[in-house]
Amino acid sequence: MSIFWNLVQFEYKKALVKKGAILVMILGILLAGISVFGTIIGNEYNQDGEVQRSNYEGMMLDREYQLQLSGRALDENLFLEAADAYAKIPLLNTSGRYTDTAEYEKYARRYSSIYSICRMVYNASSVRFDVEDFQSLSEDMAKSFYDIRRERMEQRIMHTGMSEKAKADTIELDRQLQTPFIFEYADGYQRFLAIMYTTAMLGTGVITILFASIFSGEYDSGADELILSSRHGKRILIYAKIFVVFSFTAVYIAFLTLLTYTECMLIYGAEGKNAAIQIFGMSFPYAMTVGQSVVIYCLSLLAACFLSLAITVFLSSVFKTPFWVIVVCSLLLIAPMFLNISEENALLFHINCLIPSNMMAYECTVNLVQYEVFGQIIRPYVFQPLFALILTIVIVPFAYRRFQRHQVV
Amino acid sequence: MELCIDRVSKIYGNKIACDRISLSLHKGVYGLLGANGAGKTTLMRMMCGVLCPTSGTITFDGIDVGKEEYRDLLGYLPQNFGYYPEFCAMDFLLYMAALKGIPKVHAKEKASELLELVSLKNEAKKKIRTFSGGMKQRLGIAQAMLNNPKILILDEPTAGLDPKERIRFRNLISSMSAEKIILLSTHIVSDVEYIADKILLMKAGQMIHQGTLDEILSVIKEKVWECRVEKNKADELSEKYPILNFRNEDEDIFLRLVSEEKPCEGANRTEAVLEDLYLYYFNELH
Repeated sequence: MSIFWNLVQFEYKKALVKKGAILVMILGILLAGISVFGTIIGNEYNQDGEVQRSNYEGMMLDREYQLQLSGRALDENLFLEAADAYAKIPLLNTSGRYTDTAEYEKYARRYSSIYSICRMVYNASSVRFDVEDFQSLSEDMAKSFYDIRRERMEQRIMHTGMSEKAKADTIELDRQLQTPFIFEYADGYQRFLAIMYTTAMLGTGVITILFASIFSGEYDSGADELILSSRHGKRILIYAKIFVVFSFTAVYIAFLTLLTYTECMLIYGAEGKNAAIQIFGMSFPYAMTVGQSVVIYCLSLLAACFLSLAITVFLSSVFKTPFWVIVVCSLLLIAPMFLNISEENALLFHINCLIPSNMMAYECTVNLVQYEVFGQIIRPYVFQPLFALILTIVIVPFAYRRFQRHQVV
Repeated sequence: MELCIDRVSKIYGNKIACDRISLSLHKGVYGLLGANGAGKTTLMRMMCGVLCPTSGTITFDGIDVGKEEYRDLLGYLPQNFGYYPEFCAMDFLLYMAALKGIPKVHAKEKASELLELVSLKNEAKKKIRTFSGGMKQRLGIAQAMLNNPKILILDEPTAGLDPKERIRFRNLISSMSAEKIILLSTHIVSDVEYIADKILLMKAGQMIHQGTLDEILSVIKEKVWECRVEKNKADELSEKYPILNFRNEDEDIFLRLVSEEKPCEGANRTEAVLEDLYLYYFNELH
């Protein structure tokens, strides 16, 4: 066992002692750290182009307004109250933005999050629900908020490519949600979930660059002859290499996650962990709090990183130079982001969500399309990380065998 | 102690790199000679388990080349070995020691001892990327000896060493030959001549000769001639006989050649050396 840990130490040293590796790691941390500040840098301007307030002050103001509304039920009273406030905004001329008016600032801004929630439900592909519609929100429409939501959800579920059993299960799941939802300020978590996608992609990119050479670097440098002719080169060293890549990835991704989380909580506030996830997306059918979904998402994200890493490690054992490993892994990481597959084709949609870079999106984790395995319905937030871990466990031995049986020609 | 190579072949597509080679190696130094592409490195790689033979077996006292126990007894210096530029010499040896399963406590002591042996003690903490070719080669020799191997396979070990280091290395190998099987390949024929107990001669993937220096030289014994002739005559002889040496001397040409009988008037028979045999076999005429 001491040989294993000794080799682990050396493998860490080999991977991380290079100046390039340190630079890439630090760059990853810096970019992840800075990206959190993206939305609070800069200013809000009025129609005349004058600075109204900084974005940070704007965020603090919105936070204060939303905290005042926290704990209130998202029901017709709140919707009509918000609509009344929005009604005070004068009719707009074509060149202006309603958010630049003094009335918006004075009356409506405090309800902007309620307007956003209403839009999630009232907006339809055929009928656009905009601010004028909200200003004239009728009592009937406000009262039927949850009916409309349910109707839209059921329509969407019926249009997916899931089996009838899974559709019925999802509809039942949605019906079990307790309504009305309670409004909570949860911007800190919302920002965290949004930023973590790019942070995880960034982290995976860094890991790919760092470990593309884990096996191929040995072929490339010619050290493979020494390693494979040594006593532990065909077994314990490979275990040590695999341990190093996965342990480092876990620590690095956990660090980036923790850094992003801490920054988001410090800047945008840590309130809202007990809110229902529906305040982030009305199409989520799961009875889950924001806090629970964040934990599940982080685990899912780590599993996606592991899968991506397993692919990197395997390719590293196949290719003779790290360059091609980086090229292929980058393509596999970036290209799927541009795929847009409809929920109507369940199989393709499922496969798309199982690609590591897509699995890193929160919307995939809590998507309403269920997985079905041998007639069993499995939630995406369970299936996706499990699938990633199982595939990782399947792929890694191939990399092990490939390096072990590598022929020095 | 027997390293047994039994009808080992390696075929790449339609090229035969090693053709049914059979050898039985015991304690001592074996010099492997052959031109570029003769199959020396391929054979050595197969003996080190980094290349699988197409057919045949390699065993040491019954232990197959693919086994961990075999690798535990092996020390190998590849022709162009990879190193880690950011590692210092000591770290590199400690890493190799870990790979060879040497406990940490003994590894440092052994590494220091070997660094001193290859005259790199003062460079122990210097990064390998700052090393010259000869220094890297000496470091390679040191790593091959870390586990006090019973089988020591050295592919071109003296490449890049200066004459002083080469002689030191030869003496070192000679001193270890009583308890190990040492196989070394080199283009520097004199190295083999000085230290090898047995010489193995490879050509086009086949083992064409093996034996002691005297046994192997018997092929050209009393067939090596030296003469001094005019240029026209020299051209004529060059087409007819394998030329071992060709040197301009004033108006004439000095020739050293192999011939069954006296090649020309004034030719003197001379004692054959290994280099003659090497050139004889690897001369295009032959």
